[in-house]
Amino acid sequence: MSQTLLNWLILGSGFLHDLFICTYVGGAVAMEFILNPAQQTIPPAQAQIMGEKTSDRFLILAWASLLVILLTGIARLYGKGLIGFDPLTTSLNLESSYGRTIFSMLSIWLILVINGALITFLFRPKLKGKLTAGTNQSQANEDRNAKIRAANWIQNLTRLDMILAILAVLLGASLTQGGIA
Amino acid sequence: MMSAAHILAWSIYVGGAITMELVLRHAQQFMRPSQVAIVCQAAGRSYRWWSLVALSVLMATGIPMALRQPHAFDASSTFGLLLWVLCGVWLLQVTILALLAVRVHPDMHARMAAGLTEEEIGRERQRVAVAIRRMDRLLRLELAGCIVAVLLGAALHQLAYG
Repeated sequence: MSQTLLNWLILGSGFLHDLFICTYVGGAVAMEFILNPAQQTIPPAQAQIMGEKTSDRFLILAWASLLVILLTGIARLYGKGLIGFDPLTTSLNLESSYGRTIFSMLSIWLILVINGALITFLFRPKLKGKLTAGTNQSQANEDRNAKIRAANWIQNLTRLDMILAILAVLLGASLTQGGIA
Repeated sequence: MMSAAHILAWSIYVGGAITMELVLRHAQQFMRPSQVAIVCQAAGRSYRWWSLVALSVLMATGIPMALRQPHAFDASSTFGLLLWVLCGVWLLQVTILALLAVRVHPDMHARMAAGLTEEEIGRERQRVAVAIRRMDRLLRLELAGCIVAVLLGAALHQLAYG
């Protein structure tokens, strides 16, 4: 690959990497500290609609961000000559601080993906589930309790994701000094 | 620590702008107009403070970080030139934030006094509509500025660290 093309690859992947990290981290912070409090200023029925629509849209953004972050992260490592065309053949190792920091970031990415999958495929469907006709009182109570539990799980996982994403940003920032882990 | 604070401030500022545009605006389409106004007011108020803190941190950490580089503010070098452009974008973002806080938001959320005539009510509504359009344009300009700033940041990072 020519040097000019490599420079453009590094610049393009760096730009997209930064942009989607901003989207994920800043989005998580905005959801928690701006939209959630704003949602509490309106009546519960409208707040529920707002919560549903904002969460649906943010989940799409979060999944897109996680995918782009991984792809551009690999491209950046390739651009720096730390990995070859086959990402599994790498000169990164756990003996250097740089390598440990990269592996820590990759582990955080994996946890974020697992948490995202739990929210998207397990807890959100439970929260959205509707009662069928002919449901008795005890079933309705059980359903309501399950929804409350799912909502609590989503809230806790979202907060954990936000903290982990901020930690990943700090680790990423340390790479300019050779890593911190 | 300084570069970590800098990146975190960028993340919060840019991510916040993207979320307001792509998430909140999308949700508004499904809500009653009266509730949209309340949510916008509450979200706008806290977003303003987060943005102000983020922009302050960006300047406070960005200048010392830039001064560590050779030819930091030398406009004859590529690095220096890009840095000056980034400073211009920062200034634009601060101006937009000030306009939103001082001019546009107060215009949008001003309450109508009791006893207005039909004509005066019409004029007030038109003024609010103009303020909403102005806010939309400013928010999009702010988002475009954020994206340009991230691109400039990536270019500066590449020039500084390879």
